[in-house]
Amino acid sequence: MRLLRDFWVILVIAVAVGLWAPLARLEWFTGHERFSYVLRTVEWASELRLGVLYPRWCPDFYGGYGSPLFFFYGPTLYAIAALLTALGLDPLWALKVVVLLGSVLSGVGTYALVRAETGRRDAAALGAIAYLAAPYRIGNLFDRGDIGEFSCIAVLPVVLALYRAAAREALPHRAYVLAACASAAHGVMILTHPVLGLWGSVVVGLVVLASLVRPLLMGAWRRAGALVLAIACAPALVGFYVLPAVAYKAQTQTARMVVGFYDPRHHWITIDQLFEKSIPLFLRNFLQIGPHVAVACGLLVGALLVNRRRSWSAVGWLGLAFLLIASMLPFAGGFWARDRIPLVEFIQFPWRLLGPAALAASVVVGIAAAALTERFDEETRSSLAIAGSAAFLIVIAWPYVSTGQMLAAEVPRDPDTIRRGMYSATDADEYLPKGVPSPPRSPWRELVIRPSGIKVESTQSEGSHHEMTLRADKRGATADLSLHAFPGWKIDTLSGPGEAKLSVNPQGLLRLELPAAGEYRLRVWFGVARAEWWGLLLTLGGCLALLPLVAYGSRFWPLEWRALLRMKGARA
Amino acid sequence: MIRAKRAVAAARALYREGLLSESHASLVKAFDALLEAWRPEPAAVVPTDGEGDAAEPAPEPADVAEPIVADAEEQALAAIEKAGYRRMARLRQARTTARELGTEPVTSLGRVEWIWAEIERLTRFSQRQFLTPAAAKRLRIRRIALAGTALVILAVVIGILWARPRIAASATFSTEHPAYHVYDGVDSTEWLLPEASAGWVELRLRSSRTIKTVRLVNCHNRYYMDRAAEKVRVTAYAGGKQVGTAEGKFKGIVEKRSTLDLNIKASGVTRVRVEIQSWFGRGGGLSEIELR
Repeated sequence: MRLLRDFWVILVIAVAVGLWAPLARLEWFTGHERFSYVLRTVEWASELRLGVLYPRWCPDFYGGYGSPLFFFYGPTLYAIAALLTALGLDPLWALKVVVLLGSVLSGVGTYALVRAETGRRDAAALGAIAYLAAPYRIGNLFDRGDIGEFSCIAVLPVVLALYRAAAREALPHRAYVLAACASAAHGVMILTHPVLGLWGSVVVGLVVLASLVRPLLMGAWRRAGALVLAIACAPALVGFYVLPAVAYKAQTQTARMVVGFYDPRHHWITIDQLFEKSIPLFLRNFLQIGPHVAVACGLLVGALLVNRRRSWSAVGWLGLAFLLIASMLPFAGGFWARDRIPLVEFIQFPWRLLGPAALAASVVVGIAAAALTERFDEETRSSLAIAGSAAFLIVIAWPYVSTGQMLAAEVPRDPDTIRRGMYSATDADEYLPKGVPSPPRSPWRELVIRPSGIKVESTQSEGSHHEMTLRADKRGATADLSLHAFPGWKIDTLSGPGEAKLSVNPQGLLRLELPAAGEYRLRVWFGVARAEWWGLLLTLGGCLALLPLVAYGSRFWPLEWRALLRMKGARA
Repeated sequence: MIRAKRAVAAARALYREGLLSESHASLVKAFDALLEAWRPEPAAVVPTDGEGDAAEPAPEPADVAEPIVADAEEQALAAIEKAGYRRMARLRQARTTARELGTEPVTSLGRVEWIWAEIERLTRFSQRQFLTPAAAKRLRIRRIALAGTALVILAVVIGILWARPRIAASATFSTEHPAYHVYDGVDSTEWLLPEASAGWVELRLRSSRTIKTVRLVNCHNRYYMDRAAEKVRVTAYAGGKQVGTAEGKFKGIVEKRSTLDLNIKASGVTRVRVEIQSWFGRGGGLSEIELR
């Protein structure tokens, strides 16, 4: 509440909302992703209505044959948008709300980060607005339509702010709680976008490494250890997502994600392209981080000349920005080669790192501005901060704050339309199960197909839940189901002469086997796969590992209990 | 308490600047201020001895700028212990060690971190204890209100998501006339079928129930008055088995609420399907389905 009484925070939020406003005026927008986020949201919402809190299966993709997409896509934004959709909001508006949250979080997170670096509200606001105005951040949304990546780079400043606050906090309990919160926020960042979550973790790791220097020099070994523990626990906290994604990757066709257009070695950029308004890849070049970084450099040079003590820390941030930009230049092509470093090629486009680079440059702007104006009075500082923010918005952001409209009527927004349209929400069919040679050509008409010795009495399907009443004429009768096979499918024999079993046919579909003749009532549904249980265990382990950080110095710390028991004993 | 809070804030700011010794000194000042705050007021404390006579009057309060004196410190620690502070031994040890360190420069946080932890604990404990009854009450009310609001929101969300029946339909005329309109309790919202098509809408109940009557409320497509269901059939299912069916006919397109009650009398019902077999005007639809 105190935060909302701060004029500068309100200004940052107002700018964030203002930059989101063009989206609010449209029914939907024409990004590269088109309406794939809408399809995924509708799928999640329809499973959520069935009581599946964390769906892994998209039952309506590929004409009802289904896709294990949610094993691999970060769940955060879909969970929020789908909850709103299931509660009655239109899915287009649900996603717009998520985007608004992301926009506000970008601003407030960067404000918190720069405020902690400088101790100054006006400089923090300038840094936050510089980040909000970054062409890559805006273009990621309005041009690419990549809401997942947009959300990930919205959470990144919050994660960095928390880790930095933990490193610089004097009070022990507070420092450890901040570290635990940073770990949790870091986990949320991984859950928003797997690829940028991975690379965002590398950026976070570099920042935390730099932040360890001072505690180590001050002999604060425990603090340093706490930070390392926190950052190590972050992927474990989201083990319920990470482990199944890694375990089942080989059972899909994700190799398609990194070939041809998606091979990262084809996506290097030159220094010139960072300054150009238009490049062959994008007519409106939102990779144009050049002016942003140039302003940051200019301010930093001035600040180092005028006030080296206050601006020294910005050198590290600028170094980080340069390092990230360097990784996209042609000479870095070898770094992105396949099989050299695990999972590296899944970035697809190295220029995704422009998001974190823009954040680092914005932090430099904030720190340098604070150093340059340290001797000015409050009024002058405020005026300069507002003028600087306006300049960023008008000169740098303005050309990118627009997008084309897609009519709502063109966007499939219900499961039936998705099923009839044979949508899969990805271009390369990379999440088609490996056993399926090619995507189906039409939606399925019958759930039970190619019955051999089986008569279908009735079937009822709802999302990933299917019930059927079958009569088997002979022992070992089989039938195929119009469902793509994948780990996680379960079968329950509600009634019948024996336990029905599921297997996989040569076309990659589920095959039903009935052990004896008779009438069966069966339930087939997509449940919790084995790797998910292990993932949950890993998450629990991560939580337990972080527990000492949260409990230290609090009334739940074991020393407290011993003292309490001693006290109670003394009273008795 | 205010002095203590300021000293703690100063310590945090100094630590952020890397000034370890100064930060420690500030926290020690905070420690002094906390103990000062816990020292019983001399005027309020007039201890009596066993015979009912007043003991010697309490000493004059010490100058607030000077460090707290030993017996006053003992009084403060006794007051803290009396208030239920649990780690007294550790607190005393921290006090002793802080005094022993004195103004010696602190070069390693590892040496003093445990003292800082005790000061932090004492600060939090003191903040809780020194809340006025009114402030404590306000905090309590705020927490209860927050928890209550969260529970209410959760209950509403669960109700909307999972308590109401799920609705499915064979088709809809447009996204402005979805199937869930037949169970939203609002007569003016309608589910419409595509033009000149038969179709069905189905309610899938969360748990089985006995249904005697199904009341259907016909549509008319708002002020267009060009669509309504004519012949309808209602079928109740228990699992995959049909347990009741009834047919009926609406009279026409009317602006007023037009209802049709169909008796089913079925138990263990998990699904109710309403089929629209014929229609008036451009197509069929329904405004509401009520299960009784």
